Amino acid sequence: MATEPLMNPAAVQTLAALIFGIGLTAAVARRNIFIVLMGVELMLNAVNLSFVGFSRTLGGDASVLGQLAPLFTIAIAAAEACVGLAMVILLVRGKDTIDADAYSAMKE
Amino acid sequence: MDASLLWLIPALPLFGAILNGSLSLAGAKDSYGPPRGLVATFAVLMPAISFALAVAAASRLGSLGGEAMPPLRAELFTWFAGAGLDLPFSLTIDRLSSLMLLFVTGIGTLIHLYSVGYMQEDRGFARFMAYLNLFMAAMITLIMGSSLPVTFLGWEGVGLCSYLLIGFWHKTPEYADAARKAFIYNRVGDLGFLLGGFALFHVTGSLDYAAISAWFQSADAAALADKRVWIDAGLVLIFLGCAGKSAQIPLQAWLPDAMAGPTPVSALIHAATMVTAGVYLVARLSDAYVVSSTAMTVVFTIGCATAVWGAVAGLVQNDVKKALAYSTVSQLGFMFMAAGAGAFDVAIFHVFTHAFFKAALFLSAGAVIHGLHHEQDMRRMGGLRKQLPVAYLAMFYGWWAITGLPFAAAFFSKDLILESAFAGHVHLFHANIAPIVGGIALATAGLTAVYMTRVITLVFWSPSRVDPEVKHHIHGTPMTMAIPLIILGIGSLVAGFAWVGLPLGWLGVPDGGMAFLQGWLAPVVGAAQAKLAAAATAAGVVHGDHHALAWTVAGVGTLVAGFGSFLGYWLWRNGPKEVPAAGTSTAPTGFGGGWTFGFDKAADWLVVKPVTVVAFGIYWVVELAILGVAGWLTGAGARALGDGYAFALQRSRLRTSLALAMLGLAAAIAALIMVGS
Amino acid sequence: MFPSLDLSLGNIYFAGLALTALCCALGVLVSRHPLNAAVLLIGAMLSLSGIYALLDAPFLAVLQVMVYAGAVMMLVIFVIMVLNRAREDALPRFDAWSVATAAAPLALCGLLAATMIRHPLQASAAAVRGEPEPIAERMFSMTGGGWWLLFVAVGVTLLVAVVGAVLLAKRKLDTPAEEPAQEAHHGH
Repeated sequence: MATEPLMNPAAVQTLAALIFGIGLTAAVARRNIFIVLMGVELMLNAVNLSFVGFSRTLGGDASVLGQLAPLFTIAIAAAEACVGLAMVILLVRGKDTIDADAYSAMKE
Repeated sequence: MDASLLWLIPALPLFGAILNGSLSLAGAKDSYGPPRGLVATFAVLMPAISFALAVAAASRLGSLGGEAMPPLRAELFTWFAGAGLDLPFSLTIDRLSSLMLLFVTGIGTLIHLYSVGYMQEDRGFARFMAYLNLFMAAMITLIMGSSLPVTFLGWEGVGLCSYLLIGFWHKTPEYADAARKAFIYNRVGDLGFLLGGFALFHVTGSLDYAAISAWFQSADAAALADKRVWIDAGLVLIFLGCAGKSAQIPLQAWLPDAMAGPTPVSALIHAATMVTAGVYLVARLSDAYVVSSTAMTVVFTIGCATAVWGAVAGLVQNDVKKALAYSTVSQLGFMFMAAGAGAFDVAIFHVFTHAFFKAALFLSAGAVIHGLHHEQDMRRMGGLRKQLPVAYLAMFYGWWAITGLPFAAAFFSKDLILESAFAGHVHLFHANIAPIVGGIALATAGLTAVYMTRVITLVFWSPSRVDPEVKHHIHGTPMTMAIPLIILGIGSLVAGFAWVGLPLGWLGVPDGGMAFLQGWLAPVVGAAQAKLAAAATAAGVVHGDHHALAWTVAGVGTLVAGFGSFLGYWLWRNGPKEVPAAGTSTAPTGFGGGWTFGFDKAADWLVVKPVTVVAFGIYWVVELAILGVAGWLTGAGARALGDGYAFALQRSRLRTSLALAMLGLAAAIAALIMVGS
Repeated sequence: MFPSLDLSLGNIYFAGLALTALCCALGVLVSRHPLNAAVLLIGAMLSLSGIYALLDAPFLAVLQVMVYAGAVMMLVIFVIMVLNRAREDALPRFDAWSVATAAAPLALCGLLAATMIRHPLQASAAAVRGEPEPIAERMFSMTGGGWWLLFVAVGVTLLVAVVGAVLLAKRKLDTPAEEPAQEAHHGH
């Protein structure tokens, strides 16, 4: 099945690292709660890409595993989005704002 | 009785405990508690069925006769496995455990029945019955366990139940203290049990009794010499565990205080069954003990010392239950003396007879206390024969049995102990101390007659000193209490014949002739005793005429018992010198107090005070030096930081915390990479 | 690190898709309105799906489109529209704290770069193409090493998440019985 190696694996990992960094920045630097959530989704996607990229560098069973782990990540990400958005709805109802910095009832 | 049913014997009382415990919890809000009849039925029925099963098992063991009958053994499940140790949770009934099982379940059932009457008016009736049933389950596990850990499970279980039942009336602080005292003393002994078990495992490579016995039976002199230190230390440590459970010096002080529990508890746990577990364990490990003369000497001398100390202390007590408790301590000393002299079957025989007569004595004392509205001071009793005839009869039979007058229980068992002591070969510093100790034991037997006659004289035979208004309202003995009293009273008269075996021989039981019990126990302890006798012969000891010794001891013993009884009656026939007011402390004073509480004082000075000093030292070091100084430094540092930058950081936004966490993660990964390469 | 540039067709596709994904991701980071961000995020996910296909992972590529770009993002957009918080565009996109927090992604990316320089990666010729069959065989292997228990656990987690989301998003936990009925009435 596997033909000649296509892309340079280092390039794939670099792309994953960059997307992860952008997602993390969005998660920690933005105040809009939706963007924060989307940043988290980006991070998860970057990790999946990293998995797939690494699976190309390994043979046999390990390469299957590298494509199997993202399945679980996707499923958990779906659950996370589900609960996360429900929490956002709850928070917006309570605080009437989507500013993440406003959700700080625990700090005092 | 099939081996596959063995698990039922401990499981039934456990089931009763769970059931009654649930009922007790369910009825906790009801002012009267759960229905008494239901609780009583289950509580008595469960041990009764266990008793029936034990009878079936014993008859199965006895039916084939001879020594070839293998023990009943059931492996229930693997308890733990791995690291070179596969330990099944297995139960065994052999000749020794079947005998213990018979009287534990039998007398246990009777005392359950008695408790139904005794505790009838108590608010915690169901709780009490649940504890008693739990005790039965644990005690049966202790007896039936085929290995040290299973026995230890029951050992801890009976300790727990003992604690729960001594402190049953936990609203009285002294009673709760007594419960804690018992528990802590037992913990010290349990440590000995554990360490001794480890040592035996190191020596034999197994924890199973059969394997341990096999190793010691087959070990040659070189193997024994190689492991000498481990064997001696292990057996002495296990005896320390037995001393804790069976109230031997130096761990004996908890048992008299344990009388804080309700009287049926004193009869069942602290006289008839649990406290004899130590003797049982020594007999169970008889094959090991006979190869260690050090351990045998320790057992023998400590048994003798405890017997003397308990007898003298029993003489000066004013509380009827305390007097009986010290008597129990003394009698347990006799049992260990027999075991130390190498007569394990005699020790078990005394355990057996003692269970009957001490239960009878305690239960009749309980009937007296119940009748006199919780009066326990013997100086305020007297002349109760007419009012409490059943209690009197039971105590009379018990008294007859314990003093060693012919032909009740201790006439046989105690004479056999004296005989084994005189005939024994126990060496201390290369001198045979057995005959000297035998002489002391003979005097102690006389003392036993004195203090027991004192008890029965003060309670029944001397003129009445009971308060007139109490005298008119003496509670009778209800039927549930009377039946066990009568059975146990008769039992204490005839139990001694189990050794002689005449009635069983007449009934056609195989081996039921002379020395029935000796033959019954021979498959378990016979090899050890034969080894000891062979060693004595090899050492060139000339055996005297066995029959002459037996008849001499029996004759002299009877004379001493008779003289002691007469002395006891003569001294106290008119009651005590002065009758204290109601509510006066029953603790003995003067010499009696010094003797009774000497060990408590010693323990206080040797253990409690040093530990307290060390504890306070640690407290000051930790509290002042460490927590104080370090705490102050930390606090000052935090305050200095907190008013400045750290304060802002601490109260910052969620995303800052997240970013900091990520930075920390990056740092951790960087550290890992650096370390890894 | 990067050997001689190989301008085969696959590499050109990859470069295009990677560029699209990066641009979309950056757009998510800087966009003012969350709806814009969501649409850009879908773009990034679709590009990633294409990269998966190029990387011999067709099964994952399809799942990426169905679950992520489809279901999850649909949910996000739905919630954004339901809450309708466009007026909060006034929120500053970045502030002083944002600059400070940027240290974390920088540190992590720097770490990754350092690792990749130290350990060059080499594609393996023995890698298995990610068709559904080998993945399913690996996941549901009964002979040993199967992941089916985890699979069931993930299913239960999803169920719990749904129930939790419903509970969280309900108007009030102890709303009187007539209120939902009134709402339903208004809805018609």
